[in-house]
Amino acid sequence: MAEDSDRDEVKRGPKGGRKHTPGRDHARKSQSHRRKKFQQKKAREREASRKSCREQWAVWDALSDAARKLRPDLTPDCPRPNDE
Amino acid sequence: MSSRPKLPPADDWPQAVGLYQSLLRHFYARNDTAKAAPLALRLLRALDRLDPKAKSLPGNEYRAVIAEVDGDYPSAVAYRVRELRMLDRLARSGQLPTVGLTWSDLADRLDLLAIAYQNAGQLDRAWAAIERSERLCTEHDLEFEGRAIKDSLARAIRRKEKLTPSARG
Repeated sequence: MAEDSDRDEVKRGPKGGRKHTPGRDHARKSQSHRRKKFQQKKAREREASRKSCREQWAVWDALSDAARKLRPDLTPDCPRPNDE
Repeated sequence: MSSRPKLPPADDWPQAVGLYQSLLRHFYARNDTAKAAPLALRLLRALDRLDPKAKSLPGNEYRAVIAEVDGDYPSAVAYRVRELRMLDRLARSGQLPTVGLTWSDLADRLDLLAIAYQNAGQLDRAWAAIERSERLCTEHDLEFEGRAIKDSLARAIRRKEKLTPSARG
């Protein structure tokens, strides 16, 4: 019903009428395709985050105790990865 | 009374680093002192907890920037000098790489010291710092990135020399 009322709100007059909008009322890509793309994107983000975490821990582990006191800003901001 | 809730203090170094990066973005990249000031205050509170005696490199570096935001240029110079002394000690003993730094970082800090001296009105010391940075870059075959600072300093020194005789009468 709400859809019908929306359709009724189309502007009338000389410049009125529903404008041409390609793809209107139509999902161009399937839901499963979208879900797969979303999963792939999230997997890429997770992998980048894991890589950054491994690098941070590698840098931190290479520092001596004295160096760690001088450069506490290099402290990793993520827990140590389990797969090491 | 402000309705905005108080932000929690930064508890660890990664949070302090994040605050510092936001501070740099607002203060230098966007020139927005109004937004930079509360960040500086939060960072200072975090530093008071994490490094109360300013014994680390970031402890001094961050405090120098906070002092700049505050307009306290003598303090900014003092913290930069402290940081540079630590770096010099490391460089003399060949331990710069052990703390993840290079000669380029040292030259960069000298450029920042020159800017701090210039802001504090100590042009002679600023000139000495920028010349040391240039020498360091030449010695280690690095690109000298403080050219614009050196030019600006040279102009400031020329202006000062022009003004001095008339000021003396």
